Amino acid sequence: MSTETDLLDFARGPALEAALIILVFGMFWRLVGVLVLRRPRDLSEPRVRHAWLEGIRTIFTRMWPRREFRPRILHWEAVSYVFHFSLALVILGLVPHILLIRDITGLSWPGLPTGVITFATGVALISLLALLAHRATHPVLRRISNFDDYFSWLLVFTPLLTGLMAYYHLGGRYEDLLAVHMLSAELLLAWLPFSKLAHTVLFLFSRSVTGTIYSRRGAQT
Amino acid sequence: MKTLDAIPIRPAPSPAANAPALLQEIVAALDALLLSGRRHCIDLGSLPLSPADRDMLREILGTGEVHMELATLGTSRIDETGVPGVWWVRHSSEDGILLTESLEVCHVPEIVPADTTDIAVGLQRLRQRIAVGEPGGH
Amino acid sequence: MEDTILDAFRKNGLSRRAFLKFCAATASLLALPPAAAAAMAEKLASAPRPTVIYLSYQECTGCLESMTRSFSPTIEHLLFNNISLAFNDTLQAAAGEAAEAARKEAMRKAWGKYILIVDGAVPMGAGGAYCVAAGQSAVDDLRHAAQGAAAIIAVGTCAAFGGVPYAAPNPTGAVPVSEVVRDRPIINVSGCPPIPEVMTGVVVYYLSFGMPALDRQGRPLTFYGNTIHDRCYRRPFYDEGRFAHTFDDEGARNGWCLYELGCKGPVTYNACATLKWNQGTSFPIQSGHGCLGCSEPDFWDKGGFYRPLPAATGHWPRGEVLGGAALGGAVVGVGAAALARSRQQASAAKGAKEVNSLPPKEDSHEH
Repeated sequence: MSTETDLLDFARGPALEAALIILVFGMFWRLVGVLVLRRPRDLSEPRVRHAWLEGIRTIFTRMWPRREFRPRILHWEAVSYVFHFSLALVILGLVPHILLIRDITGLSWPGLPTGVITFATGVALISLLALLAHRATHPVLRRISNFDDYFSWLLVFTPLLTGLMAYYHLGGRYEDLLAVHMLSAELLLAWLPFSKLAHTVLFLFSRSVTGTIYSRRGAQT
Repeated sequence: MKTLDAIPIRPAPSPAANAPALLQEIVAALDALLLSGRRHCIDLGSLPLSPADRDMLREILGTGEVHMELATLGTSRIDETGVPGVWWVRHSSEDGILLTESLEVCHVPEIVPADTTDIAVGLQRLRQRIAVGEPGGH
Repeated sequence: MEDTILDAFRKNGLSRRAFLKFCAATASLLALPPAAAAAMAEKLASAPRPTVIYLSYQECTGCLESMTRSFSPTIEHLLFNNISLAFNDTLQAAAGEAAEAARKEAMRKAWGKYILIVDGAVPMGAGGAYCVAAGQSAVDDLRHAAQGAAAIIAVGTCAAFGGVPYAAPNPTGAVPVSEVVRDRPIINVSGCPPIPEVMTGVVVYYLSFGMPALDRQGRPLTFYGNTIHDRCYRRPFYDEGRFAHTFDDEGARNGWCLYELGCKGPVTYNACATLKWNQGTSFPIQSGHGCLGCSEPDFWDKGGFYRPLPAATGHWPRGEVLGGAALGGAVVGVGAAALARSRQQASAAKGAKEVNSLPPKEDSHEH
C-alpha cells in the first residue's frame, strides 16, 4: 500500500542505513589504504629527535597562513573558516542531529538554541555562495576546478538549504521537505569518502606526514 | 515613598484589534434587520478574539433586559445585550463545556420560540394529563 | 412518511430547541459558518433518517468504544440514537440468525442509499479465512455490503490504513477498506481510535452536505488538515529548544517538548491538539507522553514510539553492521595498498634496471 510518507520512510530507513555503511566502509578503505602504503626510506640524517611530534604540531601551525602569504590568501582563508565553523555548529549543535548521532553511536551532548542554528545556517549558505563565486571567477582556481569540486559544493549546500526549508515548513509538505533534506544529507555521506570531502578525516594525516618529513630534514613547516 | 520594587509591573495588554470591525458588522446587520428583517449570526468561537476584544464588546454592547437559560442537552445562556436585537448566545454541554458562542442579530433567536410541532405534541400530552386527572377531583 | 432525524430527536423526548442546539454545536465543531448550522438543521429536519449499517471486521472494538462509551450522554450518543443504526453487532440486542436477517432486510430496503461505516481491517490471507462470521468472510461481506452503499466511512486506522493487523509481518494479509472497495466514495477517519467528535462530525457533515473535502489519504481536511505539531501548546518549548530528556525528569515536569522522547507530532495529522479527548480534557502530549502518530499509515512500524523522529527507523544492530563495514573497508584498503606497493616495487625495479643498463657517464673533469 503506497502512502504519503513513503519517501520519508525510505529516507529514515534503508537509505540511511546504506549511506552510513558506505561512509564507514569508504572512509576505512581510504584511510587504511593510505596508511599502509610504503613510504620511501629517508636516508638523510634526521635533524630532529622525534619528527612525528613535529608532524602533530604541523596540524596546528597550518591552521593559519604564514605571514608571507597573508596578503594574498587571508581573506578567503577567513571566509572558509567562517563556512567550516558555521557548518560544524549546524551539524553538531542542532538537537535533531544530536538525536540521530545518539541513535547511531550512543554519544550525545546538549544542543544549541534553534535561533543560533538558523543564523549559522544562513552564514554557512552565504559563505558557500561566496566561495563558489570565487572559485568560478579566479583565473587559476577556475582552470583547476573539476567535477569533484563543484559536485561536492552542491552536496554540502543542498542539505543546508533543505534543512532550513524543512525546519520552517517552506515550500511543500513537511514530510516531503524532511525526506528531501535527509536524502540529500545521505547522498553527501555516501559521496564523502570518495571525493575531496574526505579531507574531513584525511587532513590530519596529510598535514602530519608533511610536517614529519620536512621537520626531519630541518625545514620549518 | 515607593521603591522601584514596589511599583507594579503590568504586562502590556493585547490591543482590541478585532472588536471594532465586529461592531461595524453588527451595525450593518442591524441595518439589514430593520430594512428587510434578515437575521445574522456571528460565531465568536471562530474569530481570534483577545480578552481586550471581549471586554470592548461587552462594554459597548452592554446588558439588556432579557436573560434566558435554556435547559436542554446541558445549559445554554441567551442574553439580550444593551442593544435591542443583539443577543449573546452561549451553548454548553452537560459537563459545562462551552460548545459554541455567538452573537445573533434578530428580533429573537430562532431557538427561543416554541416550535409548532413541539406545541402539537405538547398539546396531546396535556389533553392526556387532563383526562387522567379528571376522575380524581378538581 | 419516513422519519427524519428531527422526528427521531422528538421520539427521544427532545424538543426542536435541542435539535437546533445540536446543529449549532456541530457546525461550530466542523468550523463551518453559522449559516451552515441553519442549512444543516433544514437538511436534517427534512431528509428521511438515513440507514446506517455498521460493520466490524479485524478490529479491537476501540473505535466503537470511543464513540459510545462516555460518562455522560454526549452528542455522539444522541446522534447514534437518532440515526437509524440498522446493524451493529456490538450495540444491538439481537444476535445470531435473527440479527443477520435484520441486517439483510435493512440493507435490502435501503439498497443504494445506506451509509456503510466500517471499522477494522480486512484479512485477505487464506482466501479471507482469518475473519469469518456467519459463514461469510470479511472480504466477501464487505464487497457485497459496499455494492449497496451510497458512501463508506472507514473508521479507525485499521479500516483506513490497515492499522495493527497490517503491521509487520502482517501474517493474515490484512488490507485497508480502500484496497477492497474501489468503486465507492470512501471517507477515511483514521486514529487509534479516532476522536469521538470527529467521527460524529464527519457523519453529520456527510448527511447534511455530502462528501467533505478530503486530503490525499482520503481524510476530511477539517479535522486532518493540520499536524499535531502545528497546534501543540508545547510548541514554544520546541522552538526554544527546551526538551524533556527522559520521563519524569525536570524538563518533563516543566511540561517541555517531548520531541526527544519520540513524539511524532510533526508528521501526524489529526485534531488531538485542538479538540482533545474526553470532551476536551487532555491529549497524550498534555498528559506527558509523545504522540504515537496513530492516525498515520504504518505507525506501528516507524522505528519505535520512543525513537525520536530524526533517528534511523531500521532495527539493524548499529555496532555490528558499522563495525563490519569498517572491517570490510580496511580489508579493501589493505588490498589496494598491497596492489599499490607491488606496483611501486615493480616500477622501482624497472627504474633500477634502466639505470644499470645506461652507458657509464663521462668524466666531467675533462672539460
